[in-house]
Amino acid sequence: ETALPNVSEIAFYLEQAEVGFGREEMQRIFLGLKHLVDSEGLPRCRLWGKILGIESNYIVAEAEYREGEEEQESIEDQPAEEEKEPENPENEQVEVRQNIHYSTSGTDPTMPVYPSGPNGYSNYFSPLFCIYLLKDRYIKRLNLNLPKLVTIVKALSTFKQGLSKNPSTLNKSPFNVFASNLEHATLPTKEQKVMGIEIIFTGVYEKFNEHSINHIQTSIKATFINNYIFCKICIPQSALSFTLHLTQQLLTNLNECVSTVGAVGCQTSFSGMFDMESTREAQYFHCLLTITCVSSEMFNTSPWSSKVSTILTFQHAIAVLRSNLWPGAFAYACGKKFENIYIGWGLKYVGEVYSPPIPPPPLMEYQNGPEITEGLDPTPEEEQALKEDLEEQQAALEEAEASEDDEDED
Amino acid sequence: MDSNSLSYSLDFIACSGRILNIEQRTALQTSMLILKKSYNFKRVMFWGKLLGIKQDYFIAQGRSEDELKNRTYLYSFNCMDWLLLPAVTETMIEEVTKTAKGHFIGDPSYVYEQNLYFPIETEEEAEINVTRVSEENRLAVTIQQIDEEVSVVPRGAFIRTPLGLVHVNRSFEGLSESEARKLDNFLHFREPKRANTLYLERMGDWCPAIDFLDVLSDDIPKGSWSLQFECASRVCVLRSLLWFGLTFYHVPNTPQHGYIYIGNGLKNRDLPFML
Repeated sequence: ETALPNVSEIAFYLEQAEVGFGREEMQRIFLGLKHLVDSEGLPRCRLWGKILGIESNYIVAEAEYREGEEEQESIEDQPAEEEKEPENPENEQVEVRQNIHYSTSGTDPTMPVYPSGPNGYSNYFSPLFCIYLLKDRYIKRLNLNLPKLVTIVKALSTFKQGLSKNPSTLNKSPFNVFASNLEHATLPTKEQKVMGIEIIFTGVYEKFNEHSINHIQTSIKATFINNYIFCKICIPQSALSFTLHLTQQLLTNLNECVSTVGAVGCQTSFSGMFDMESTREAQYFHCLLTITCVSSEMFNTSPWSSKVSTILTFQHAIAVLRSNLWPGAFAYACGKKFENIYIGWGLKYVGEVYSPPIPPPPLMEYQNGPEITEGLDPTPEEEQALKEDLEEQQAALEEAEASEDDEDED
Repeated sequence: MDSNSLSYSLDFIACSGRILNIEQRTALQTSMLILKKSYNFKRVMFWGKLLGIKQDYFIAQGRSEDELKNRTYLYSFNCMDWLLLPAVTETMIEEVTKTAKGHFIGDPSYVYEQNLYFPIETEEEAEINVTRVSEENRLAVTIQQIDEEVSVVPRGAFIRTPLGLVHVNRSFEGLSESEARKLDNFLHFREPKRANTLYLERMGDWCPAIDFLDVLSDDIPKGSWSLQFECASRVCVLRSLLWFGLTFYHVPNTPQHGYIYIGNGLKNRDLPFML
């Protein structure tokens, strides 16, 4: 087994899922990953995806660092990394293969490795970041690139919170290296935010069959669970909570997958999971099932959209999951093979943009009615007529009273 | 992007991350031609894809004599059967902006409802203030808005005759490498909103036949476009930050250019706060 992921195969399936970079770019990424794996000696590596930026883009790979590397060592590694970087362009140019030269010619970056925190589990996957390789150009580009990339990310305040919870993991920002390279003190904080973004992505989805269930039963912590949802609340504390959240998503998504993929005839044994009541791991899963995925549902839309890649040839179709929360996060599954990827701007969908409320409508005047309508003043003739009428009435009244008095007297 | 060049131009916009799978491409190859013949379009463009929660819409645009004015849109779910989208009116735009919120559902008959809330409301008023909009209308309005705000062409690709007719410039050789790096050389493909006299200051070689459209660098807010050279610096790619998912490509020194929108149809109104 090799650490290098089979990017060609992944690209093939991703193309069916309507996601991808294009064949030539995938090939260059493949070669870049190969170079990374060879130069760093990574036990495991995976293409995480691409984050688009204003001036240029990041290609991110995720890898397991050599175990046993402690945090302090990683600090020391950094000067070593610095030295490595200047060497690399020369190495690259010495390379006979034209392809690699293209990959480092300023468009496709290469990837240095930076371990994450001391937590045994999170050391397992350490995000790698790409930087430009060409010495001269990348320094300049990075200046413009990062701040703009970071500012294009919304909700910076939430990222800060995430970072404060995970000082150990996230302060080991790879960009400390860059900062020292570039001698810009302001960059680290912004770059940490970028790091925060990397971690706060949603990759999803694993197809279970009976074999992999057993696999997970035996070794939860060490299992190469390719299915994870990094929640910034979940990452920090324990590997346990990490796996909890992780597998919760597996199960809920499995539900989805079963429903859409049923036609494809893939094997999933959901019931197999419930048989494990007795085991400790099963208890984890059981309590997971009570934690619903509703929290990630936002604004009445389900967090994922699932579909089958083709209806015409469904015998060989693959299942595709697309995230609604993070537009750009995809996952596909075909038989036992599955993969997640993120290609996008690194922005989360946070619902409708804030619009200030409309002011209340202007008040209407009182409705015209008999009470407030101004009446016309009576004309002098009318007044005269009224007066005469009144006098007549008065006279009639007096006569009536006078006659009554007369009658009473009588 | 033009349906004739679909096979190779999809590779250029693939750097944005979204492509069409092979089944859709083959279907488009034939169905676009059928569309062209049946509706008698001069050119048929594959406009893009609007992603909905349940289903995605594939949008095609047909152009007749005047490229700028005679544009009709059609949508489909499987790239084979195309349905005509209604023409957009002012009232439709108003209704849609009031009611439609959130992602597209993927069902053209889905109805969005909105109650305009007034504090004093009798029963009769409650009936009147409900606006209903079908997703089809929302689709039409969104597409029109996207074209209005972020459709891009390189300078010189279209010519306006003295009679006002806009058509393709057959002698367009493409922007040079240095020209393609400047946002000035890309124009909005919509009815021009600014007076043409501004160009005289900007460019020495102003020509009324080609400089009749608005320039991209005049967009407010500044910086709402990301210009990059992808594919080993061969292709100039413009991405809009106002409508995520709009990608424009142009190969310098060739007349190849086009734009496509693959996204969820939501405008990024927070852009001024993000720059």
